[in-house]
Amino acid sequence: MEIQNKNIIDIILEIKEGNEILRNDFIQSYFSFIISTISKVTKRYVDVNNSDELSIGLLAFNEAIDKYENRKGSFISFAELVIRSRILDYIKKQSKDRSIPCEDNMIEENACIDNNLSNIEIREEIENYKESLKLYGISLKEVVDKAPKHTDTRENAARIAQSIFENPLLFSEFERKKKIPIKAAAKYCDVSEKVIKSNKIYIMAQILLLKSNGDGLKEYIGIKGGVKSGI
Amino acid sequence: MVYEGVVLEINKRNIVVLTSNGDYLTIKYKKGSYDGQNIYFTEEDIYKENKYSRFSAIAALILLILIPTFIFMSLPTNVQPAYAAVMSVDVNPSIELFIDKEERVIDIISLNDDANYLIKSEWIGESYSKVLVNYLELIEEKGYFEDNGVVLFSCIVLDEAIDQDKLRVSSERAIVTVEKEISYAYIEADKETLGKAKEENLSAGKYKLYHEIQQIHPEITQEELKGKRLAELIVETKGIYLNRKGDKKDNNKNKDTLKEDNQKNKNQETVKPKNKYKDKEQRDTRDDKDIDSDDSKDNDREKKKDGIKEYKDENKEKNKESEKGGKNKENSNNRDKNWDWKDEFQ
Repeated sequence: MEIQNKNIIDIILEIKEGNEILRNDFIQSYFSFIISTISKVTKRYVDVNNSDELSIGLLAFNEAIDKYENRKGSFISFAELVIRSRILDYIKKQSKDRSIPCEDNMIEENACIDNNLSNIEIREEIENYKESLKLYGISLKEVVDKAPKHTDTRENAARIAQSIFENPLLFSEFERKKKIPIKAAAKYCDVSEKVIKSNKIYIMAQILLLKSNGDGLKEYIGIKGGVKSGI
Repeated sequence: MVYEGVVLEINKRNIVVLTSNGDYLTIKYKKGSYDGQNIYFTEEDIYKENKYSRFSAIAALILLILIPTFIFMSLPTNVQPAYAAVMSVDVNPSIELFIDKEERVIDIISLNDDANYLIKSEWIGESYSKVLVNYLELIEEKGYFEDNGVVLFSCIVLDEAIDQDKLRVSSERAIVTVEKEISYAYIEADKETLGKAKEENLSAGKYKLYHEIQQIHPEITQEELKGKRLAELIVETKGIYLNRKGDKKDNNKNKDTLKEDNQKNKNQETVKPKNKYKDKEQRDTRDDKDIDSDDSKDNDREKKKDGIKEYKDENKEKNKESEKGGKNKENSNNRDKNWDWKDEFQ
């Protein structure tokens, strides 16, 4: 929070003087900027797990902090320039190493190999999840449309889903009828029926997610709660 | 804000992700993603379907339809040959339906603001009877029918090929579908009437109605007429008509024999009560009998209300009359109260 109130130039000066905590905070608060800059250069989404681009981007941003001087214009545009050129260098180097002229093809191939090797499990899981949604008469689009936009509402609905999933009676009823036993569930979770009714689709989707046999998706949601905040 | 999400589905234009905080979102399509990939994305990547694009297309379409009709309205004599008939339907919301030879509605114009919200573009191309039934249902739903509501039809035939009787039958049938007790009047007018009505910005039906009344009571201005309820006006005009025909001399009598009359008078204005008014309703309003309805125009609203009550009272009397026979005096007193200028006529 400290960061937002101070002048960027002052912050950078302080970092250069050796305030490493501030450096970390600063980078973190500009994380979304870094992500969107990388994404703009590569024209792809930045992979969370094994992305060279992400580390290059972060290093480039770090470099930008060290190299920034007041006469170089605004810090943001300077940092963008640095990240951009480092990422482009990397892409060029990659294509040279493999001596494939078209960099786009190369990255795609690369991604394909990666994803074939390491993602079979989660892909299968997603397939199963989508299948079970279909079985319960829900389309993924519906889930997107009906998912509560408000974080509190969503968390509350997710809790209800969890309770229904963990209660064997309610869950078997849910599986049998292919819909939420609204009355019983409302009583059990101590919420009004209206809450369940209005978030019906989302709750069902969450129960099915919990039900899915793999751990990938479940863990993903369970462990990585919260969102990193940036600019 | 940075979001983290698992790719669930890749579509042509977007990607569905499940975010780490349990939300399901669609984000813009970017190549290189695959199912199950764990990605970072930002606010600006969230896919926003332009909901207004479809809406504006419809709005543009409506404009395209309306502009030519406005041009047509300003040149009423240059009637397009495709229109076989023009039906105006006045309740309070007033519309004009342009009908082709096959009795399909090919254009709809709203004649006042109320009607603007009621007409639907999808009606265009449907049969006249279907549109009319839908329109009346909508009016009833929105509560535009006051008690003893009246629908005034006017039919202007532009092309003799159209079956005029069929139009009338369709109109009558549509009236029957309305649950509320309403009356209707059916006028046939000609092209010139339509042209004149357009000049005065009225529906052909209202124009003719006002015109008839003004012929007998030239001292009444149009403004005054506009303040009156359609029901009152039509009852008045009908009386005049029948008097002219020489069938009946007494207005009140006319009212009683109205049902039979309107079958005969195909080419004249007729008012046909759909049902007899319920006794209960009449009892409710009985006490409010002696409210003066001759106020000036700015008391319009109240006047309307009073009008309804008195009108009901009238009808009650009418019923009584038909039961016991002959309470004409009282009845006509009642009417006099309602119609100051009618005295002069009689």
